[in-house]
Amino acid sequence: MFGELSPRWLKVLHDLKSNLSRTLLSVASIAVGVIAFGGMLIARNTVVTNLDLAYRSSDPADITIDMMPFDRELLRWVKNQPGVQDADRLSVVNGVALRPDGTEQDVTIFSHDDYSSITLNRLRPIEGAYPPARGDFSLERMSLRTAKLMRGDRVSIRLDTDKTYSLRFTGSLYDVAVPSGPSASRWNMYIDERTLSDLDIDVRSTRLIVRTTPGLTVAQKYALADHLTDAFIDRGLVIRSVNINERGEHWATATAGGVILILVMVGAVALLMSGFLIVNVVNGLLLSQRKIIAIMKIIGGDREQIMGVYLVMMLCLGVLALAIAMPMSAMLGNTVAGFIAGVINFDIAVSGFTPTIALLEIAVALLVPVAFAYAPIRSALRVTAAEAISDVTPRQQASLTERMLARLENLPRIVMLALRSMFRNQMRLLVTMATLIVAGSVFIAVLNLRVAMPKTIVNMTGMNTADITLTLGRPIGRIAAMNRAAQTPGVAYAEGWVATSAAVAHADADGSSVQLNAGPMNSRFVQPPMEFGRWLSPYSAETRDEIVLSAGVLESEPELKLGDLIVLRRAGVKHTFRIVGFLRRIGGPDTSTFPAYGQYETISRMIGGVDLVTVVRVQSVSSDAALINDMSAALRGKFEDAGVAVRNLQNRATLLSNALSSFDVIITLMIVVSALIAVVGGLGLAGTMSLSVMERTREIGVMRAVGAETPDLHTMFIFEGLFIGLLSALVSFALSLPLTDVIGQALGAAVRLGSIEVQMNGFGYVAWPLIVSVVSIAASLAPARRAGTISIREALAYA
Amino acid sequence: MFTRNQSAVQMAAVRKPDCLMALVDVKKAYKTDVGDFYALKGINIEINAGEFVGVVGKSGSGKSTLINMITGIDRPTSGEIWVNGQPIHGLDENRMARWRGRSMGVVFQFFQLLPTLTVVENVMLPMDFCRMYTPKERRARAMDLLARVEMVEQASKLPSQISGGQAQRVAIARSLATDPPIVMADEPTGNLDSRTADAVFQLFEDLVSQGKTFLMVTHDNELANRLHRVITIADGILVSDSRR
Ligand SMILES: Nc1ncnc2c1ncn2[C@@H]1O[C@H](COP(=O)(O)OP(=O)(O)OP(=O)(O)O)[C@@H](O)[C@H]1O
Ligand SMILES: [Mg+2]
Repeated sequence: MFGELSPRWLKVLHDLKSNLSRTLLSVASIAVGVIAFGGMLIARNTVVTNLDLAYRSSDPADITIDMMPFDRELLRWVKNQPGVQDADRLSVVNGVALRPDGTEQDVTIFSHDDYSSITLNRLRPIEGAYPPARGDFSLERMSLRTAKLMRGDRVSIRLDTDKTYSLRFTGSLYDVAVPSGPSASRWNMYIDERTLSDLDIDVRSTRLIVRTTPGLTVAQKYALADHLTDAFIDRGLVIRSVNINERGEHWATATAGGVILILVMVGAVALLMSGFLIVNVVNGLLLSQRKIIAIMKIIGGDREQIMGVYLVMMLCLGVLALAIAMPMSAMLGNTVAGFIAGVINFDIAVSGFTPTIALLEIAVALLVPVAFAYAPIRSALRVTAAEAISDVTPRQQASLTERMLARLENLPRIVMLALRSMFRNQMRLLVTMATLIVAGSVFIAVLNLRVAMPKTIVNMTGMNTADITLTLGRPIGRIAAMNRAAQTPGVAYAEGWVATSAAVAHADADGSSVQLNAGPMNSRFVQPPMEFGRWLSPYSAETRDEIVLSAGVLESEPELKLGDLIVLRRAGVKHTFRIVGFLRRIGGPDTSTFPAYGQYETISRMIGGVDLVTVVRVQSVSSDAALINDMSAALRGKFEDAGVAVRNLQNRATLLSNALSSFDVIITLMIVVSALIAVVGGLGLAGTMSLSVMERTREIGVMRAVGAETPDLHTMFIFEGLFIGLLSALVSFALSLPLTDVIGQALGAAVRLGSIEVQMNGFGYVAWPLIVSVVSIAASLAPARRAGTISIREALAYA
Repeated sequence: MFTRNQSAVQMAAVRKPDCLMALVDVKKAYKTDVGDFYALKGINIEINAGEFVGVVGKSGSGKSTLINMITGIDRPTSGEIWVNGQPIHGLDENRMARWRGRSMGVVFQFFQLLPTLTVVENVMLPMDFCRMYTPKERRARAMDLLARVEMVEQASKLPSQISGGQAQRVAIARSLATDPPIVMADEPTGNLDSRTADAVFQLFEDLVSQGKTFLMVTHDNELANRLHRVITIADGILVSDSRR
């Protein structure tokens, strides 16, 4: 079959065949890198494409307004407003489901008057009945996963009214618009309008969703939302919340994109590592072919021809690796994308394995081995034929490490030999260790971050550690507000705050918008994380204009510094403040409003009078979730009964656990990635060890001749592998610290939490050495066994 | 490197020898722990086309070193080497390789066949490197050369499957692959029984009678007696140069 090939290409093929284990090792090394890199690219593409597809195919709304029940006629009016392409309405009710086992589960109940005429945020039936009939309910498919209900099961639902109703589960559906699954702790239920009235709830809708005309800018969207809400308020409707999808993308797009970008970067690192593994293998190959290269030169092979022989060999390895890597990277990419899809809740309809990625994989698989082998091949060719064929190898100066090792005379002989040979080829040692070091540092860093996370989230909420935060629809007197809170059972302590939005006023136009907050001087709910400067001083004539800004505002207002005066405009009126401090920036780069804190007396006066309150912060007597839930409902009732609408109610525990659970998904992915790198590292170590065995064939023969037994040889090589592994762990320890910082920054930006504070975690520092030991021993087993089978005869025949 | 080449060319204009090969005061020092060791201490030889020259001397006298100088495998520490009007000492290794492939066949003392190529492929390799003959002709020619050294039966074996003497014969066949006008052989018959050695020697004599120039190192006095010219080396010095 190869009859037509010229002898030098035959040599390439025969060389590949004659040392199968080396060929397989090289192919595996290249393949792992291409699989990791290509796989992550495929995962990224798959997620981005399908997430967008799922979002677009639901005919998404981009403005969501929650408010008091409104009439059908309002929807008609909204649809006629300029900038509105389409609008729809539904009801959203919160309740508690009693699971068959008696435990409680928070639920959000969605109701549509006509499921067949939904035009925005479309739902897709998955299983069973659709739409839900009267008395029945459907579950979002992700909720069903945790609910584990069978069709026909009955579930009791308790509403704020404290009445309990029994509903039957009849089907599941898919809702793109609302977060569900691991990152949402609530079940999403869907019922018919008639069922809603059976639950004694006003059947009029409470949520208005709007699709803006394509091409509106973010500012125009905000203006439209303001226009709508102003009109609603004029009609006496109380607005609870307004949500604007600024970029018109799925709610998980930014977070998923950030996380996957990190994965792609790690994939690129794995590729680089696999390049280094190739350098190792190629160096071993060239060493064993020293004389062969000399012969080729002597019989007329010029440098380009011999170089060609080895580069073509690398190309062949690349082609073989590609054959494995193409399907495997698709598998890895689909698995990772599938995992992410499962967490975020979307379907994978189209593969992200595009021709472009395929081409990229081909290019990378062929180029990486050639590029990384180029320099070693060149330097091997620089050895003259005369040097290569004379058996007299130039004596090398004993290296520093060797001389140091020579002093450790008291170590057991086998350990000594292992140590010495480990340092024999220092370049190779470094390359091998590099991969293990990267794997180890990523692993430890990720675990550090896992521990740092709750603290960071606490920091994030450091400006508000209240259990419950109520935002009122309008300012009311502080004493009245405090009394209402104090009358609510379970409330241990309450504070009245004011919050209002304002803009940094420049000479020509308004700049960044800030959320201006103020509360009691010695608030129990504030632990200001200062970046620089100080917190506010007690109120006095001199300090009344003090302000503390989030450092984030510096991004758009870089000229601000401590001591500067800053003019804020609120409702057309300008106020001048003096900057005394900057808070550590919390929130990712896309936060458009930054918090600022001023004196209570000043801000209260700004919004209309003395001792006003728009926000009530409450501490509960216990941290029991159920109690806090009951308290939330009771608090809301207390204010609404008095005719004060509650615009927003925040439960800190839910906030924290949601943030943590989505973070855990990321951590899991990162650990998987560090495991992948550890596999690359193990492969590298296996390669190094088998090279080490090969180079020392003669030495092994001599050791055998002087009585070394097979177990001695096994011990020697396994020790060598283990030493390399443990040494790499030491370096990982050191590197993990800065890496925690770097990954923390990147992750913080991805999940929009700002930077994550580094914290050491004992677990990573104990677990990694154990893991790396297992990997090293596993990687050394085969080479050690090979060493044990080398006979004296074979050793002496080795050229 | 460049200036060295240039000076060599200038010298060529001044005193280019008119014989096929010329060594002018060639010295070779090897670096050792105890300082430089001179394996060749100033050798002057001229060899004409069509000569069949033997080099003899005790083990360690510098015979292989001398061959390495003429084949350009190694460089002299000082002195000049001219082959076919080319200043060999001035060529870089790459040009040297290209030139050598076509004009000089080499048989090493510790010959080396490429272990993963079959016997016949080993013989074809120089033709491949030198881009001589068509692929089909290469195989036919290689088989023809193997026939001359009685190795046809072993043509498709790997070097590890043949004996030392057989491998030596393959190396001889390979040295003739590109039909070079000059053949340098370092003990080509060292591993052969007297009958086979005789056959190989016969082959050499045939080639010499066809106009090729041969230089071979040998320990075999009987064979040495059949040579046109015998150069004796001792401790890196040429001690005798006898023609018949
Ligand atoms: N690379 C080298 N480094 C140092 N000394 C060398 C080297 N190669 C050869 N020598 C020394 O140079 C001298 C000449 O060696 P050479 O190989 O030319 O001898 P030879 O005549 O071919 O011997 P033999 O008949 O045993 O092959 C010897 O003393 C040898 O030890
Ligand atoms: Mg010799």
